[in-house]
Amino acid sequence: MVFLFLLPTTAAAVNGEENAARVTVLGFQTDPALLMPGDEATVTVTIKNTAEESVPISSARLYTEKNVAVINNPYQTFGALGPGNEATFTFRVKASLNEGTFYPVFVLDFRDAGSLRYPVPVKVDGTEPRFSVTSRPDSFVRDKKEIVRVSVSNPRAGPINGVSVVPSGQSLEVTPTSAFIGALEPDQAGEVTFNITPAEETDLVFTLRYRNGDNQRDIEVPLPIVFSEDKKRAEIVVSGVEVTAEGGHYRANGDVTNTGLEVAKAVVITTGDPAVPVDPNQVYPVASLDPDDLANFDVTFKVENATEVPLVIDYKDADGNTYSTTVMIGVKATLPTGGEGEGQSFPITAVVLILVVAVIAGAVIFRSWKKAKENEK
Amino acid sequence: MSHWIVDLLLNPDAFFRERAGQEAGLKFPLLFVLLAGLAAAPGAYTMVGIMGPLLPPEAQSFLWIGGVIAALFSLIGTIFIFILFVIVFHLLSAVLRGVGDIKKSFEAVGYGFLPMVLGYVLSSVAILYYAPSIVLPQVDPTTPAGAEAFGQAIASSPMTMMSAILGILFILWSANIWIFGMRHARSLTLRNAAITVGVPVGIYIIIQIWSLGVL
Repeated sequence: MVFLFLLPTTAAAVNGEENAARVTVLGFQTDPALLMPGDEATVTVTIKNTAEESVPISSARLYTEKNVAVINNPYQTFGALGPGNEATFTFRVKASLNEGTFYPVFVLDFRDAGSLRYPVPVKVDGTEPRFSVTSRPDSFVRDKKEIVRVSVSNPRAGPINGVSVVPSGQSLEVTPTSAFIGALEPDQAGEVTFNITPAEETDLVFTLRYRNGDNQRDIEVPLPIVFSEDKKRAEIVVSGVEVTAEGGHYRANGDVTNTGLEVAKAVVITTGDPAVPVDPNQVYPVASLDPDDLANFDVTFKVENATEVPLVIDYKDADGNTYSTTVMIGVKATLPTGGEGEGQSFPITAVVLILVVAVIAGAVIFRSWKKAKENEK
Repeated sequence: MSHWIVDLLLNPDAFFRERAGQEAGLKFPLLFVLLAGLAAAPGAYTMVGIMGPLLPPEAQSFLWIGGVIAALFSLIGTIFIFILFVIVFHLLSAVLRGVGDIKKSFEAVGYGFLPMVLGYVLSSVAILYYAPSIVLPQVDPTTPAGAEAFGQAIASSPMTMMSAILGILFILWSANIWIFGMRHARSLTLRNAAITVGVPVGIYIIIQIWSLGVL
């Protein structure tokens, strides 16, 4: 009798185990697909009841693994899963700082049977996006705008989102202030361009911002800006300078040549302290000088007690940056001197001759007046 | 008994005293003026040559014409100065109650040009000798600034200074002769003769010094 009472129960238990055995894991997904150390992610597990009867489920849990901590477990209780139905369980996890593939275990407890254990692989990879400067000037020059191109590539196995580059630094003028690249699939790259105008030597810092799933990450890459001579810039060379004294001032003329590789615009030539520029040519404007071009100049100035004066040449580059070059030119050497080999003897000879004549004339005049007095007597 | 030229140079009072009562003879006086003019001519010719490099190439072949004209002007200029001094001395001596024929004034002033002959010779030699050493500014002398610069470069050159100083010394020597010449030609006291000659010559010297930029 008791057996008869127990029979249906036993039969039901047998059916429950059979049905539970037919609940299978259809698949799993992590978002992001590839975590970085310390990232938070969601793990989604999908199951399906392939039995012809409903399967009661007590709970669905994801168990913390050593390197993957489960942050929440919202499925402490669950109902029944109907025949042919699917159910999806989503858990929040956080990766440790270690890299590798870890397996937190998904456990589905059946009410009428045992449980289903399914290790869910979670990949953690510390590979970061690559940031590289693809183009920069050979040298930076104060207040000169230069173009810097940077590239961001994604060597990770998973995509990254919201990629942007923000340059920053002291005493820098940067345009644009940031550049957006967007999503980068694995092995994809994006390039952006910035105009950099440094006012002083500093560190230009590029901040690469991106998201891996919901995780916002930043990478800072410094680019030292050190001023040096621009190898391509225009260079003004002064030659054939001739300084002559005239009308109470000096006149300096000669040639200026652009020996650089870039055009020199708005070239203006004048003299610097201690020389004082005077009319008619206080400053002498020269038209733009292309590389290897030559033009002459003519400036007038006054100076006292100086053997050389600075010739100041100002010019601009194509961006309007002003440059200045100073060349010393001799003044004393060009003052009128005596003829070949006679510069020293001339004044002495002249003085001697004048003195002799003066003495003779004086003696003659004195003698004539003396004689005149004698003649009176 | 010394030569009359020695007397003229060293004892002009005795020279002119002896001729005071005689008829004025202008042969030698005019010769001295002419010689002075001729002595100044080479210097003037050379000064024009200095400007040669500033002229256009096509004009440089005619530079000698300019030199000849300058030499002629120096000769004419000397004669002009001679006449000017005679007139001024004569008028001034008249104010100081001087009497006598103007021909005697011409004679006295003409004889006084003898030291200037020597002076002009020395000046011309100095110019010929030192002219190549002058460094002139490379300017356009036809512009006011260029002409000023050019003139200043020449005026401030040692050669010009030397020439001018010699000129002043020799005109002082000439003035000494003129004083005694005018004294006897116009029957002046020695004091009035000195005023007659000293004032115009003094002004002339001041003008010479001023033209050098010293004053």
